[in-house]
Order: sequence, then structure tokens, then C-alpha cells
Amino acid sequence: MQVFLLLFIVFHSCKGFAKKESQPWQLVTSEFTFEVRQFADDNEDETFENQRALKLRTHVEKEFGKTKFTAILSGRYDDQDPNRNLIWPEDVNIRTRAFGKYDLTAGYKIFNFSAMDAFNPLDSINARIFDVSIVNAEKMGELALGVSLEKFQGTLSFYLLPNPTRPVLPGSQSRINLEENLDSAIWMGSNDDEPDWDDHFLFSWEGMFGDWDALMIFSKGIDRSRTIVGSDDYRITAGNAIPNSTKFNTPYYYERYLTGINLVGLLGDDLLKFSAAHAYYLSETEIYTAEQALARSSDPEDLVFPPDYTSVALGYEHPLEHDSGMSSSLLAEYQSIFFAGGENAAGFPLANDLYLAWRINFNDINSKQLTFAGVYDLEGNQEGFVRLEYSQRFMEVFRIQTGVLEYMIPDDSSFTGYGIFRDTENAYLNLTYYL
Amino acid sequence: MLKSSFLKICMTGIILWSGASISAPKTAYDLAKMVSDSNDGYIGETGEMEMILISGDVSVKRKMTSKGLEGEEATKSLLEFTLPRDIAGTKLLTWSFDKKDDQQWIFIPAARLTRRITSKSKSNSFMGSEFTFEDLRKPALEKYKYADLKSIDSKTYQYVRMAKEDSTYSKTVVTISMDYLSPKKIEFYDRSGELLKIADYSQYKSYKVGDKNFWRAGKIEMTNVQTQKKSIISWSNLEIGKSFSDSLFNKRSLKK
Repeated sequence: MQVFLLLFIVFHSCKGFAKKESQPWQLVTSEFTFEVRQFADDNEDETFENQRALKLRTHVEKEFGKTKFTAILSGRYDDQDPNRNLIWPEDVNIRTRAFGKYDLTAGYKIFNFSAMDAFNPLDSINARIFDVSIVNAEKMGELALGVSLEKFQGTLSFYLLPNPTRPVLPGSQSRINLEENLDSAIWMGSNDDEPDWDDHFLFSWEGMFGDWDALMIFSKGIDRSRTIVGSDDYRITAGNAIPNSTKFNTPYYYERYLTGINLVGLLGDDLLKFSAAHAYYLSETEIYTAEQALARSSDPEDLVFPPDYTSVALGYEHPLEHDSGMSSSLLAEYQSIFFAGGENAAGFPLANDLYLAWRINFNDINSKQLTFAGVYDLEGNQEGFVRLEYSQRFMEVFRIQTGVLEYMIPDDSSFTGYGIFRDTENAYLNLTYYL
Repeated sequence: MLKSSFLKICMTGIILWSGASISAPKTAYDLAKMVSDSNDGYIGETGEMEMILISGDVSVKRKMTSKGLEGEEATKSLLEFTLPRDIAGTKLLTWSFDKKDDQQWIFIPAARLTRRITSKSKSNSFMGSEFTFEDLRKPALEKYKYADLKSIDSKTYQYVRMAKEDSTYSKTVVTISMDYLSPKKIEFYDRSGELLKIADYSQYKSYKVGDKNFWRAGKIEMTNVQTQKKSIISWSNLEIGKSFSDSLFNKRSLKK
């Protein structure tokens, strides 16, 4: 709470900046959000049904000739889940132009390599704050040292990523199905040790192929989009996997190469989107998972590690006009993930799923928007979710966003997949004040 | 030497032709072409735009900065919103082509995301105002048919403009001031042929780029005659003849 109060003071200092244009720092935006979520009763005393949080986000900039300093900081105070009480950098970096054509960047940075609403296989560079939503969890800045230049009719960038940010996972009181607080994350590198961070990197090229927007990336780093919780402390005895301790609460993240491409183009009035990525993991160390421990299984076949995969996603967006002046978009996206060995052994979600959405823009003074969206697993588990969301501006400085999130989760769903979201259905309301 | 003389003759021809453009047009297309040609050579422009949205007793303000770049293939424009605060930093990049569909991208700063949007959005209201995206684009000469040229007085002409392809309007009636070779008033008719909106252009100012004068309206007042709602755009700090790098108007630069 003290940290949050500190951020609140920073927020009000920024308000001072905003009113004095002569100040050397420019306040780009500052926002203060009150978040409420109401969950159904899960008959657990330890977990909460009603969650309230305050979030602050401030963006300031300063330009010194060809050099620009950007600071976008966020912080949240959550009255129920202490794991979500934190301040994190989004973009806190300095950028300068050298030799007339090189843009140099140093500091924390958020990368966005998404082309679609739901399925974005390339967009996994940053760590996230995992929560009850399976898609689009909040991102945290990644320490990056980079250079960009205009080349090959696009922007070519190279970043060193020397120190991966740790993802934030929900606490034991949260509605995510965790029995206990998780330990600090462990990175699994090629030698099953903490990998050598110095050689983590990201190459990207962003430009156009004809009229198509194109993005290509090649990266080496820790895949923080896929969490395996369990323990690597076990032994194989007489064909059985026997854990050496009773702790199965360590999240593991694996080092991997990621290569991918995004293409977005117009077909008449419609938008077509294509995204494909291949991940090659550098470690095959298997984990005795928390789920395996719950099932008291000693079968080595139940040990898991993330298999290499190729992910292909297709998207289609069709705009509609309405006589009332409103407009809307129909969105359809499909993602298929092809795992090495042909099996989704770790039970990762969104492996063969369809996303459908209808987004209605009222095109009015308050930018009202209504969205119906849902994801359905086509693999036969009948997993998925539906979301209904409404948002609008009011009194010019407030924005309200409210909705319901409903999961469809069969009893046998994997805890590394949709199973983790059991009992997290909720109604939510976010009220944001913009400075 | 020969080349240089030839160039001089051509330049003189252009200047004489430009002078002649002030004389009476023979067809609606001629006038539309004169208007279009009078805007050639502005190189680039920048300004701050304020829009007041009025509905009954309620009025709200929207603010943005604008940059434009003249190009051989496409006219490029970049709008950055500063008010209301919830969309501050949002940028809209438009490439308007003479012969093919426009291309548009929107940058959403909170997500660091640049999204392509379809050109069908041209009929959508611009920020909840009475202006549509189509109204704010430079009308490419060859994308329209022109008819019914009328002389209102010696300095004012009127013609009817109809889109060759899909449009928000069945037709627009454009009144041109020959003093500025720019619109004085545009009447927009909906798809059922009823008068929908009237845009009044005023507060024209002249800006000199090289030897050529460019006229720009300082204020555009758009009234929806069907709903009585009104939106007023006014410009400040307008500069014409600015040289911008083409790279400022590409999708990647939106993130910077």
C-alpha cells in the first residue's frame, strides 16, 4: 500500500506538470483506474469472491535534441491478491539517433508483435502479469539494448535482451486454481542451468510486401508465455518417477529460439491476417508437475517439457455499416499448433481453437463500444470462453469498461491449459480517470 | 541551353495556364481539375486542429495535430489526437491514392499496437463528429464524376460531384469560390437523395510556397440538417510548404 501511495504522489506531481507547459517534462498521459471483479462463490474460504484494485499508469517524456527519454510506469494495489501489488516498468528507455540513420535504444521496452485479437504466436517476447484472462494479459517491460535502421524498405532492428523479466503469477488467494503461492520462476536453458543471458536477442524486420504489412522476427530468449509448474527434483527408480520432495510449486520457463512472420492485407473491404511461428526449445528436461503430484502418478510418461511447435493462425475481419451511423466488425480467427511428436503433452491451451467476435462501434461522442467474443477449442475438449464487454467515455475524462467473462471448462481439463481457469468466471468493472 | 529554354517555355506555359485557370470553367470537371491543380505543389503541411462537437446544449472539444505530405502516387496524412485524454497519443495514418483504395493504419499507444483498418471506415463518423473520414480526405479527382456546372455569380460556381465507387453520399453539391479556388460550401446528400449535411468553409488565409499561393480555410462548420447536430473544425499554427521525410508517414514511424 505504501508503494501505491508513493505512485499516487507521483501521479499528482504529474498533474502539476500537465498544467505548466513550461515544465521540461511532457506528461503524455496519466490514468487512474478502479478495478472491481465479482466472482461466483467457489466454496473455498481461502480465496476471494470480490476483488478490488487501484491501478495507476503514467507516461512522461523528455526530448533533448535527437535524444528522447520515455518513462511509462504502472502500479497496482490489489486488496485481495498481494502478488498483484506491484509497480512495473512498461517503457522506461532512452532513444537517440546516431550517425544520422541508427536509432539506439536502451532500457525497458514492451514489444508488440500481434496481428490479431486472440492468437498472436509472435507476441511472446515480454513477460506478463498472468491473471484470469487467457488472452492479452498485461505485459511488463523487457530490458533491451537495441539498434534500428531503415533497410530493405522496412525497419530492421536488433536488440540484446540481457535480463529477462520474471512473469507475475497469481497468489494462492486468487481465483486461479493454485493451492499455494508459487516459488520464484526458474529458467531452463540448454544445460538445464540458468541460461547464459548475454546471448538472448531479437531480430526483427517490419515493412511492406506490396500492399501487405509484414513483420518477421528471429529471437532467442526465455519463453514466458508457457508455464510449467512442478519440480525437476525427482528420480527415476525401477521405471517410476519418484519426487525427492513434496514441493511442486516452482514455475519453469524454457529457453527457446522463436522464428515467425505476420502478414496483414486488404481483400476488398476485408482484412486478412496470417501469423506463423516456430519455437525450438533448448532444454528437454522433464518436470514432475503439480498436476501429476495431485494424481499421485509415478508414470514417467506423465513428466512434461514444452515440445517444439509450429503455430499457424489465420484471421479475417469483415466491416459492416449500419443505417444508424454505427459500424461493426465481424472477426474470425483460427489457430492450430503442431507439436513435435504430434502431441500436446504439456496440455497448453489455444492449440486448435476458433475465435469469433462481433465488435460494435457506436461512432458517437463518447466512443461507445460493445464486443461479443468467444474462443472455442476444436480439439474435442469443449473448452473455451465467452466475453461480453461494453465501454464508453463519460464526462470527457472518465472511461468505464464493464463486462462478463464466462469459461466452459470440462472436469478433465489440464491445469496447464484451461483447467487453471476453473471457477474464475467473473463480472468486471473498470473505471478510469484520465488526467 | 536548348533544354533550359524549353524548360522556361514550359514554366511560362504553366504560369499562364494557372492564370487562365481563374477564368470561367467550361465544365464541372474543368472546375474540379482547376481546384485540384491549384493545390498541387504545397509539398507538406502541418497544423493544429480543434473540433467542437455541438449537440443541443452540449458541446465538447477534440484536439489533434496534423501533418500532410504531397506525393506522386499518394497524398499522406498523419493525425495525432491530444484530446480527449483517453485517446491521447492515438495516431491515424492515411495514404490517399488517386486511382486505388486508400490505406489506413491506426496506432493505439497503450498497446503499442499499429493496426491496419479497412477503407470501409470512410463512412464512419470521425470521433463522433458530423464529419466522416471520407469528408476529411482530399477528394482524388479521378474517383468522382462531375456534372451540372452553374455560375452563382462571377466569383462563385457550383457543381455536382458523385463518387464512381462506394460512398457515404449519393452526391455532393460543391460551391467553389473563384477567389480561392477552394470550396465555400459543400452540401452532402444521403443515399436516399435527401440533404444530410452542409459544410461551410470560412476564414480563408493565403500561404505562399515559392511563387505560388495556397488558400486554406481556417474554419469548417458542418451542420447535420437532419439531426441539427453541428461540428466545427478550426485550424491554428498552419504551415504550408514544410518538407517532411517520407519515412515519417510509414506504419513503423507511428510507434516512435
